[in-house]
Amino acid sequence: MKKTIIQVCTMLLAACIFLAPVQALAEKVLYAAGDPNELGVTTFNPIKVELSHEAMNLIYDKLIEWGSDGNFYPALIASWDISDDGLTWDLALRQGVTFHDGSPFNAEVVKWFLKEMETGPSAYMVGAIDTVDIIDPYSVRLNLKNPEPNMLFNMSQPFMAVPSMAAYKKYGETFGIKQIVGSGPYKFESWSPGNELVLVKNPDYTWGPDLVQNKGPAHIDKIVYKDTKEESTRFLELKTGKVDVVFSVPTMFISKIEEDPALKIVRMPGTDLFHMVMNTQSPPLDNELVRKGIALAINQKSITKNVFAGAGKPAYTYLLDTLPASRVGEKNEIHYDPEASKAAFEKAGWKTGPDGIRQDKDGNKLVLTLLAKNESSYRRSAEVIQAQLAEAGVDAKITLMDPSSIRAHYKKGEHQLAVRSYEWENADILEWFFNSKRMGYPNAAMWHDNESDYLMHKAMTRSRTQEERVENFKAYHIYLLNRYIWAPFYQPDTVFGIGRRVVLPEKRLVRKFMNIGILDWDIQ
Amino acid sequence: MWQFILRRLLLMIPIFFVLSVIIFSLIHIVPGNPIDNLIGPGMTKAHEQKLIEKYHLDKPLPVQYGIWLANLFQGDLGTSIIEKRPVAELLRHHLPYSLSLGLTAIALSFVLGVSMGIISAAAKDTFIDHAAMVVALFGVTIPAFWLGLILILIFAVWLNLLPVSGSGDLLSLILPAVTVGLGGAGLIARITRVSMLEVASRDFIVMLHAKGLGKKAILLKHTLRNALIPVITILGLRIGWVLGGTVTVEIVFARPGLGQLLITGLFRRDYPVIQGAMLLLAMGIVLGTFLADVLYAVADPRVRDQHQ
Repeated sequence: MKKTIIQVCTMLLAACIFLAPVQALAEKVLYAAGDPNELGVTTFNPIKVELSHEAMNLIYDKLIEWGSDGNFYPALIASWDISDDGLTWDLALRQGVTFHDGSPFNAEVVKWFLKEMETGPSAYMVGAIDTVDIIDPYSVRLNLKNPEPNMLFNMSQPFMAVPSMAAYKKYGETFGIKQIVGSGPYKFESWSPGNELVLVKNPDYTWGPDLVQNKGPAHIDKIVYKDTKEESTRFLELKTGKVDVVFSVPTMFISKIEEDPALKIVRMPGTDLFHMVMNTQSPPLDNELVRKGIALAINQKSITKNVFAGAGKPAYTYLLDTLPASRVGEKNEIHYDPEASKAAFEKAGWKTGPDGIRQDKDGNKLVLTLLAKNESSYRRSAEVIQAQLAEAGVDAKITLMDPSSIRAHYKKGEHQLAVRSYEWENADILEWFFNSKRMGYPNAAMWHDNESDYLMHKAMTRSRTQEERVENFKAYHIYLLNRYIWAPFYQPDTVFGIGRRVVLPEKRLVRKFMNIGILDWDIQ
Repeated sequence: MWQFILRRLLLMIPIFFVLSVIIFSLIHIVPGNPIDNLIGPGMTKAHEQKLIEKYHLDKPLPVQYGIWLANLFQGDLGTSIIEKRPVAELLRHHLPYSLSLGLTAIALSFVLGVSMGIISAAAKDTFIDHAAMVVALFGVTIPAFWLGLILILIFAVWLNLLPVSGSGDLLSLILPAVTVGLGGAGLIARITRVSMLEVASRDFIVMLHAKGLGKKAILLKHTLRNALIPVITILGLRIGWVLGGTVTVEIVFARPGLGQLLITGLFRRDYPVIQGAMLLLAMGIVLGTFLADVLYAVADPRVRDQHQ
């Protein structure tokens, strides 16, 4: 009996060990691991989603693709023509596209989709559209209420990816949760929350957008996204070959991956911007000169080097440097300048006291609170900023909290300084953070200024063309920079760890790392 | 005996109510709210308001509690605000991972801990005793998080015998179970040893020795049975703990257990998920204690008699 049990166990173990590689040989499976919070969650329904998952870009096709060269490329929309006044958009649709349920993509779907978008959280993306006319089965005309050149950007976002109309109507509430039907190069297979998401190749896909070489079907048969919260585990999974792609590799593992000849590091321009917010309604931060003194005391290069080991670059404006509206000229940028910082404090009446801390004429000390998220990069940034401010004569007291508690603080307006970051690739983020109608959160600077609101409205609603929009946003951005509301300091690269099996294309035009670019990937 | 069990079961009803109030109040006292996590650039105030109303967050707390409790009695634990899935479905999905890990770990700690305790007690003050107690101390004090990573390094990276992480097969259960189990084993070993020594000095054991009964029989049949009572208490308490308290281990080994669900829920202030998971864990502890009480009665006739 005992012998039989041992025999059975040995056979089972052998089966486990030998069968696994055989299965792997039979089909090409790519394993990607990331932090579940960064990969995104909620629903896979693009119309209702608030936090989008990377896999949305593979399951669904977007109307337009936005390349890493800043140009827009045809996708589901084969070509577009915008009238001079920016109010009429003629769109020619790609023909021969079918959704995973076999239903066709055509003008009727686009009309329904643009209407349905109005019911979801991203309604603002189609807010400028007044009516949609179907010209023929593959062309539509959009009539706009006001010019909205940014709609090209909106159409390139996963929040405006197109679901199957037939499936959406059929399944209703459970669409995106139980049934997920798009037209992308991969089909949804299964999802186990907190564990893994499995996609399988769409064998009928032949309509890859212009910015990829392979128009489809994809070379890789299956993609498994693994939710692995712990950074060390992700690194070890990559090292043992259990995972082929690791999303956002932390600074401390970059050199370890680079040392291993079998592994690769891929750096992409980041989409995050680290900055310190100043509450412009909390004295003495209501004084622009004090804010200037603080902003110019922050040494961006030193933080980039010492906190982030140079895995990115210093930030001098409120926008990502890949955006045209960030090019405001050096004189409008915020650069570390200890002399100018000192001069600003002196002019504001804050002189250095006997203990090195600045005092006003009544003897009040310049002591401020500094909030930061309880996570290593924020905590360490806050500590370095604290030391840099101490040199300028400002005593900053750090409080660490979780993000939800920090937001509750902003809403009460009790904060003074706060280290934070945002992730957004469009100049309209300025409206989100500085619109006086969004006080507390997201406008944590409690910024209320009529001139600023005027410039914001002009940029948001009165730009007819892309070029005009860039100029309007630049003017708004320059105005804000010169009010010293934030102290920008760091723009990280997005760093990916790549395993030995993955073959990446030589040239990549896709803006994000995996995304639709997956069509050109292969596995050895 | 049955009367005893029935009485303990009835006592669980008021405990359940008190727990539900405590859990609900605690979560809502903490600053922050789930909706902020869903609001991104461009979204309107109207959408935010719609979400607040949808999840009744605009209503006074007692009303929100009432709604939750009323739904609870209809078997509806609510829907996750962030993940948009029914909480019951999420719990059902995550519970098996916690149960399999928890039960394997408990079994491991019991077998390992009790054996170490017996050996230690039998060989009191010898080298074996000291060595076993150092190992036990190591098990109790070493952080599970660190131990997990070290085990991964040895068995998955260097020896390449077991998977780094995952939850699909039995092989991936070994490392996390050992990580959690070792901590418990240390505690149980120490308690078993102390308890064994204490029982060994009682008169009836001395009497058994005098009667000329074999050393082995005295140790395993008489001393151990009496010494196991405090061990059962610890085990009962650990059932609940092991379900939710293994969160760091779950994170290291990327196991989608209850602890992970709870922690993610907490950070996002996903009230229905936190409430559901905490209630389940709390009931787990209550049930564990209940089981321990029953086992007590089985192991010790005096307890049974007291209640009759």
